[in-house]
Amino acid sequence: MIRNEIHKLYLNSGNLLASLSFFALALFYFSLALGSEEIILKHCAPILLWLLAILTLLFSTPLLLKAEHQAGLLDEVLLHPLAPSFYLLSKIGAEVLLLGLPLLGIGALFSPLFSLSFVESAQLLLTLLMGFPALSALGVLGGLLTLHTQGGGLLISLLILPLTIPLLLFALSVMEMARLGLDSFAPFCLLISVSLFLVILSVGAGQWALRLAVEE
Amino acid sequence: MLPITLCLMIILLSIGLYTGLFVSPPDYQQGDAMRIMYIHVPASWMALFVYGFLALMSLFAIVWRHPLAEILAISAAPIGALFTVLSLLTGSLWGKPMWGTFWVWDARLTSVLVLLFLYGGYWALYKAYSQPDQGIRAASLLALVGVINLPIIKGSVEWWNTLHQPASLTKFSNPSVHSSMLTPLFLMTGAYLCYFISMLILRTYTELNKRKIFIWEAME
Repeated sequence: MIRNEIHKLYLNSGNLLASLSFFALALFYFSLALGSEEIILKHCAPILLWLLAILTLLFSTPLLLKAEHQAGLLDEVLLHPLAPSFYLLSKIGAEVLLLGLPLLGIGALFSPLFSLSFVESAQLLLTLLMGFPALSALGVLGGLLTLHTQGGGLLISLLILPLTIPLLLFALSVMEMARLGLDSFAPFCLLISVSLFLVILSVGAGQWALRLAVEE
Repeated sequence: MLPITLCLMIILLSIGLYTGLFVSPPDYQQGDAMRIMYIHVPASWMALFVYGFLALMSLFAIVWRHPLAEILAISAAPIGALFTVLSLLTGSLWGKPMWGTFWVWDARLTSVLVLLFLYGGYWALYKAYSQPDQGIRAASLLALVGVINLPIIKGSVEWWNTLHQPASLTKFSNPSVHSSMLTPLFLMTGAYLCYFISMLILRTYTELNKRKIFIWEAME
């Protein structure tokens, strides 16, 4: 099933490419606009990377879902003998693989622009990797909830952004603790647990949302 | 039912305001400025209470698909948002003379702000659908996810905050509240509750009539 999802994402690679280039360009712009002050750049890097990753996901996932809905693939999911949550989980998995890992790659590539050291950027990308499944799951939930509306991206960010606050705060506190030279293990564990919890929550809710969206 | 709750609200509000503003003693540290508490604290309680009510009704709407629960939920949302705004506004007005600033990134303040965003998201999602009953179901799901997530948000903000600034600055230490202050507080809470109930009844009637018109128009 996950292979199926990866294939679908691959077919939609124009959309993926657009999201990735949005992420890269926005990162470049911010690092340019912040100037050459090393301390400011270093301080802002985690916030910017996280925010842009959240926005990229929230804008790209619903577009993919809308395309699938128009192709009638979502109806098929409900007819499938496996529970729809498997479909949602494989969708999240495919997204982490095809969108998340390239995003991390771009982040790693751009870390010299923010004058991050190797260890710092590795830490940052690790937090991003841990938070990614939850972001993707929330994006899927938002996409399913707004499937029949015209609003699109802005509406989804209004709905989902408040729900991503814990992820953002825990990730930033990991970076903050590391910067101060403290033990950053506790917020890291919290980040992972919150991420897993959000995945479960949004897959559960996503199942209902899928049913609502398709039945009507 | 509506006239009863409205009358009760007016009585409670007038007694509560009178006892709060004139009878109860001024705070030994904050003086008369703390009297805004009688507006502020019940509003915060009601903001949370209404969100709880909204989530419960959303649960009924999702699980049992009870049509009245949907209408009650959608009627309660703007009232809850109003209480949240009131709580935030009076809170920042209170914060200016006490803490010296309108806004602090305290855990409680931040979570109330997030609560306002959740109300906003709920309403926006409901309004984004052209069919009201579809919109209500989608919004109900969002409300349920929000109510589960709210404690986590609060926890994360608290954690975030303890890292940044000492809590002693923002947390007003609460020596056990004297009954002369507690009575107007409860009276005001009762008044707010009656306001909520009466507005809920009014809005529910309106919503039901709107639906009737909607169905009528669809039939023609």
